[in-house]
Amino acid sequence: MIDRFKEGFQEEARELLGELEAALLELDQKRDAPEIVGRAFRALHTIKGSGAMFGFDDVAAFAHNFEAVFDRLRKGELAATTDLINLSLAAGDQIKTMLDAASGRGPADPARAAQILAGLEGLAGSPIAPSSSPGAHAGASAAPGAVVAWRIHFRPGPDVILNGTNPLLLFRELRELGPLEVQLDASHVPPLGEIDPERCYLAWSLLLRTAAGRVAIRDVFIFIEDECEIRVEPASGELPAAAVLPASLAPAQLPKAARDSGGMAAAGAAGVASSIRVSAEKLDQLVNLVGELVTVQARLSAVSARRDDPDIQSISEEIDRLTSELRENSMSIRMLPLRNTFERFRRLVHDLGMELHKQVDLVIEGASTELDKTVIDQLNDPLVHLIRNSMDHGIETPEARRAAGKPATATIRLCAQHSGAQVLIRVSDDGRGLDAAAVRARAVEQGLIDPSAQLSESALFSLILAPGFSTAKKVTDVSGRGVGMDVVRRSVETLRGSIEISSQPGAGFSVTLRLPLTLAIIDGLLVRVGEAYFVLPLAHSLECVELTRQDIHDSHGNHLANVRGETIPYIRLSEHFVIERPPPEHEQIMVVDTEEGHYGLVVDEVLGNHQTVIKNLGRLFRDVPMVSGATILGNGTVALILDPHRVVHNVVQLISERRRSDKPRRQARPAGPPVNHDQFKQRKNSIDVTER
Amino acid sequence: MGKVILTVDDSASMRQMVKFTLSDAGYTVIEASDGQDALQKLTRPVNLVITDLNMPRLDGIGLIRSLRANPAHKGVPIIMLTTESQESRKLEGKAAGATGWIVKPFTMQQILAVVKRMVG
Amino acid sequence: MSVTEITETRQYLTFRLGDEVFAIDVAKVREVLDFTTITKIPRTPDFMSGVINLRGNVVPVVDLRLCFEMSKTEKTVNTCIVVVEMLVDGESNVMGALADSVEEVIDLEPEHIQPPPRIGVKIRTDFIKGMGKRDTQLIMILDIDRVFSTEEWSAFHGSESAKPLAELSA
Repeated sequence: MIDRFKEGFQEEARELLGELEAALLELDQKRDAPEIVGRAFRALHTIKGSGAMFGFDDVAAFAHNFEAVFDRLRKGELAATTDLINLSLAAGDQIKTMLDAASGRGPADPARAAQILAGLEGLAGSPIAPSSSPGAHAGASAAPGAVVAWRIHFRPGPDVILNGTNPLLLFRELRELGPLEVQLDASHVPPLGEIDPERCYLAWSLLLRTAAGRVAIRDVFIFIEDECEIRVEPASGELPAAAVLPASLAPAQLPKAARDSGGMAAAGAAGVASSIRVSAEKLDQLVNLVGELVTVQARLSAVSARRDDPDIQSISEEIDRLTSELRENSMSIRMLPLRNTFERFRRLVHDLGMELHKQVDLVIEGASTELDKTVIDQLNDPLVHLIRNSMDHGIETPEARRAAGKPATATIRLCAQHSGAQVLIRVSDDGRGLDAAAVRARAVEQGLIDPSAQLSESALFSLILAPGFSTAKKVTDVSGRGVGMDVVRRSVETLRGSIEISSQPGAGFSVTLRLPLTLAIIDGLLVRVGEAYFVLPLAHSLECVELTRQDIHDSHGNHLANVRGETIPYIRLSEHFVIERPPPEHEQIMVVDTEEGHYGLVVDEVLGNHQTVIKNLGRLFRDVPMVSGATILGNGTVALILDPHRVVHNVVQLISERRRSDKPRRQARPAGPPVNHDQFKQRKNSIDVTER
Repeated sequence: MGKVILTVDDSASMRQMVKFTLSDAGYTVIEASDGQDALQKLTRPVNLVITDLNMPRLDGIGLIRSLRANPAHKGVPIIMLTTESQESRKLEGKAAGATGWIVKPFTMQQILAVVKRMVG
Repeated sequence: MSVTEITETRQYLTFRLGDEVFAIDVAKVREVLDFTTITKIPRTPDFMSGVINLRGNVVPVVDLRLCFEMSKTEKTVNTCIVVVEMLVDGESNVMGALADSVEEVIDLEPEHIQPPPRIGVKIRTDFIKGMGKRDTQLIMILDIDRVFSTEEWSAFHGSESAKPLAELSA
């Protein structure tokens, strides 16, 4: 039965370990802070107590010894040294490993546990008291024996009733052990004038016949034995005393305080839990249902707009309002602050600093910024990598920093802020920054760019996102394990986000991740090509212009349009997607912002804004190019959600493939190269980087 | 009306388990996450308080003292949850006015036995 | 999975692709739909017909004929979409498969099912769980989980580049 709580405990223990870790890292900064020690102690204490409750005996035993060290720390018998903090961090990790092992994820190493404990013991300066055998005092029962009569003299202390003990219940409990006779001894009741109504002046003499032993009897009084006179003696052949009372006391004989503790109305209404745990699965389900509701609602709006019926219109508007409220509400349930994710990095920075002999402060800003849980879950790995990268490649050793006239302690900033429907997460450091020349040289060496290529600084920096790209001369243990920045890029792309890199040589490096608030709903523009409908994310859509015959004429067969003085290469979706349809009268160019710059996507018609629920295409279609999902329109048609960046990328890739494949057939193509290859060539530099 | 028990613990899994055990036995259980929370939720008298000792904001001892100082609650039975290493805390709790204690880890039967002793 | 695992009488939904009769364990079949609008996903292989709206859910549809090296499905009044639900890498997935026509649900005793022949059939034998017989008609029992397994799928994806490049000229 207890199993159903185990999972809850595991989850809670992990949270507590997080708290412990945060406290330890804080302690590292501020050595003499009793309140921080107290926090660590409490976390350990709860892990120990609850761990034992839910059958995690090894965790409880380990935490017990660990706690003992913190108890000494708390009492000032030990000092928080760097060694102690590091060992404690390791001990916290060990508990995590033990929890993982208990849920079947990898084995825990008992030798490691013993080693850590020995280390802690060494620091404590004396052996840690072994935990006494756990077990409750209450309810312990002696081995059954022969029925014996016991005489019990019970003279409660004056405050027992005030302190919540009800003698009646004690007598009832005794009666469960065997027949009980109760005799009142009122001889200590003072004269009426001296009576304090809250004090207990009564004593009782009890005769109990039971097979349970003396221990079981004393156990009934265990909570009050210190403040009461209790004698339990064998009553060999003793007869019941003269004035025997029935074994139940009339309520009137008890002071009011004790009597009132029964028979009250439930106070339940006073204490409704302020939050509940809900499984993420249920939340997903809720969002899915709301998503469907949004879709149906859009259909209803469309129908009501067609019919000129004010009644239906008013209902539809009402439902529209409710639906959008419901949507916002259910989305907000999934929103979590970034705090936990961010705070976890303190440990990473601490550990890496030790390993690399670098002094680094982690500054966290905007930790209360909220993001969709799914986004947060997938954000951890890229952030770990960015921080590692800063620690390893960006930040100099204290000596080098001093030599460069910087403070010996470097700063890594991790900040989050809202920006419209997006969240910006920035990891920046004040390290040596990127060396543009080195990046360039490396890119040329790797064949990523042409030696003669002209690149903007940001385009150049974005080259470090290419697979296997590294400018560090020395491959260290930290970021040199084959995981490159391309991992970051891929994770962020999966989240429909983008990356911006900026750097000042010698002064620092900063990576900004631009992420959507949620993955479930997208603000988009609905466009049509022939009979096919597509949604373009609004966040990437800049403007919409007519593609005029003049434009087509002026570009002499090139796919270039002039939009407000800017020459923009465009892609005809009908051609690229092989959509057959009679040539339309008018076409429109939707200018989109991609990592490669501005591009135009030519469609037949831009129908307007469309806020929509993203449906994924199913597992087997998940690798399709250019499409990030689908949505269902009001009329039931499926519209595909395009990823403009991947569309552009796909086209450019095809062109470069075509250029590489040296087929005469291609070269002998009739008049007019359709695409300005030079235009693409220049773009290619930054695009190829993102190829896998 | 059933008897009302307030369980005070900063460990949600602990509270859940106490609540589950006692609700199953027919008691009405309300929860509080620490001493402060408990005092806020005690707008009406309850039949029993089960409290952990180590908690943020207001710990178990502090809660016991506050309850005993409040005429509305001074006679209410209070069980403190301790661990075997907390002998001194236990005495402190007793001195503050705790009615009894349960040593962690305990079984569901044990907590039920103690609750029965306190509230019937 | 092999024919030896078919040990009890089961019900199968039979359908036609051209002249061949195929069968799917009814336990895997969720429903049979009339042909509906299929939204093609740009630049995907031909056998990936596209996606449909199944009561508010987006469901991918494949052209089984192309999976079995027959010509592309031509839409007729009898064309159906067999919606199957199956486990892919341990996850439940709903997929649609185009069929030229859906016939009936039949019982097949295990003793009437033979292992697939190694040669002599046009389609890949590893997609076939066994061969049943009804009168003189051979029925190929599909291992639908296998057909849609991710491994097979990546092989199909690999063939994507075989598709001619879209012309970018006007």
